[in-house]
Amino acid sequence: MYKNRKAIKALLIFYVIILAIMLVKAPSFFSVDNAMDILLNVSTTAIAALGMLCVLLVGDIDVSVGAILAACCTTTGLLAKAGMPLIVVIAGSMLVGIVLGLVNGMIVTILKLDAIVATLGLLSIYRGLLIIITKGSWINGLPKNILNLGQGRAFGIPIPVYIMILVAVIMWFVLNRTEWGRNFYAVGSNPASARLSGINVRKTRIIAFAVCGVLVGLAASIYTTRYGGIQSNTGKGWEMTLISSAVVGGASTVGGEGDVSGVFLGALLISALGTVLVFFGIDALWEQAVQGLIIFVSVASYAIDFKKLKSRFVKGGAEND
Amino acid sequence: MIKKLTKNNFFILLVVLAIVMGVMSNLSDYFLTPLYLLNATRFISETSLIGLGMTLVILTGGIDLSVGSMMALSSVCLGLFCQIGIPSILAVVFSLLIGALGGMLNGYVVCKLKLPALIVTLATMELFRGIALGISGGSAIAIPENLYFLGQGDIGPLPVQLVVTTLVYIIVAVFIYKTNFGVYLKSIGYNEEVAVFSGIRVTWNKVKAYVLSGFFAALLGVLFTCRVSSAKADYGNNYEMDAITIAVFGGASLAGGKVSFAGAYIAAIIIVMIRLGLTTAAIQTEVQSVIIGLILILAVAFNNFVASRKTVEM
Repeated sequence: MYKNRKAIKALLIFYVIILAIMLVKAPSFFSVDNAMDILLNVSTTAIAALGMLCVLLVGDIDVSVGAILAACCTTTGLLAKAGMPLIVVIAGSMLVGIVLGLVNGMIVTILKLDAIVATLGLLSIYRGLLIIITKGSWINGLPKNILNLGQGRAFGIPIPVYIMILVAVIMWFVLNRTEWGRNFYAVGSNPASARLSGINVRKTRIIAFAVCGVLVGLAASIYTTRYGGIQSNTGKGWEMTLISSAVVGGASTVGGEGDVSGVFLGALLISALGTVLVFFGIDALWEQAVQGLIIFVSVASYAIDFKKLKSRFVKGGAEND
Repeated sequence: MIKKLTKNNFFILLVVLAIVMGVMSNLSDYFLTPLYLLNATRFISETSLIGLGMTLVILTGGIDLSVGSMMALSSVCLGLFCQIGIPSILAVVFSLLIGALGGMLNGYVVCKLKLPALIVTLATMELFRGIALGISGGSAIAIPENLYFLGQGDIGPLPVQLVVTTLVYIIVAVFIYKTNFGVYLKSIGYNEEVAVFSGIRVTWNKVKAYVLSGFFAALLGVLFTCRVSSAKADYGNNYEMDAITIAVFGGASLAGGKVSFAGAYIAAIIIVMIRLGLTTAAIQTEVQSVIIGLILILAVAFNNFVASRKTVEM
């Protein structure tokens, strides 16, 4: 009911087409190394996109995630350089994420602002403050043992991939089997009826923003340790990557629709596209155009499917999705 | 009297503008000189132009995130058209047409496929910017010198941009306030379903709003390119954010049906003045972004507060 089956179907068709073309044009695409590379690339995006999913589910949107990523990356970098153990570094990064998420949620709900406007303002505030505090310096030379988080492998599979799977499982459980998750869907589908059925709408929306912040914080520690250093402009435009991952994966921007598997497939498509285009031999300059086209086509195809379904429904077919 | 005035968003904006001007002129000696202000109108005109298109789309209850990318695409097209030897005037016209076509694409997809404008224009934002990058090869393209006038010239004592933007604002204001077009857009924004049943051609009118938004973005691309004398695909990054800020700061409600064109213009002046003033006073851009972010949030919160008081009194 909450799943956007059309989105997932359309995505799977996309994957089949892409893989079929790859099989003919570039068989070298199908190597274990390449698969691991793609999975490693998708891990940070997928983790954070699941956070974005929560915010979208309650009918809000968070465009400040790029700035939150930068803040959490800086926290990770500073804690790691101070010689803290890995667990403290990750916890610190997630703590910064959750605090900024809570700030977002409270400003949106208590001041009753449009989420897009409020987080837009907060985006420039966070970014400005971050650069004032760090003086725009880059962070490099993190200790080796910390870098294991982003660069290490266990049984031949990169560690971030395990973390991604763990997060996906937890998020699936939270969204489908806990009160919090059901509240997200209820609030996004119809805030008024959610309130009448006794759900604390404001609290639910704040929780969604906090979950987004915490997952961005986790993604940030992987991101930092993977690249071994961060620049002051980390995460610029990242909000668009996350929003398009979620939306291509079938999440609705008006709330109440979307699920973990769809968002994972969406994030995989968005972040694997770069690699695919390289194998196609397409100039990197055209990458963004192709990416835009694919987002456009996939989103449009869901809508067309929906129309067909409606006409079938009107004719009296007892189709139920 | 005071109660009545504080209810009026436009009056509040003027007060904010006066405060901003006062603070800025204290920060820097150059700020309040005629030459400086006249030069500032070039930036103000450009910024307010992109806010105007966004205001129109927000009036219908939509949003257009593709404006910054459309600006870059029209800029690159202008450069390429000139490069292959099309006369300058025609090149400008073609670039503007591309803006209108891009807007039409947005509008038709939003209306016909019944998709949220946020998603559609998010996709075309990537698409337009990607095409601009691809066709330009990512490098800057020089434009012929006879086009410099559009960005750097003056008509009488006034900069060209100021004249163009003022004309555009007047034309749009006449169409919105003196013809049915404004009423149609407003009723679509308030309640699309009711608009359909009232016999308003919703698709036709909505597409017109998106076409205008694309057209103004392309116009900005042309003016901007002529001011900086070269075309490049990375122009207009994050301009969609500026545009939304201006429209909302000016008094627009993102739910649709309520905007203020005069408010948007003043909001554009305020934002440009803050940026220029702080730059002249040698304050870091980071501090500027914090200040602008704060102003946006406070302004919208204040607007909401005023609006909620209004409904209670009624």
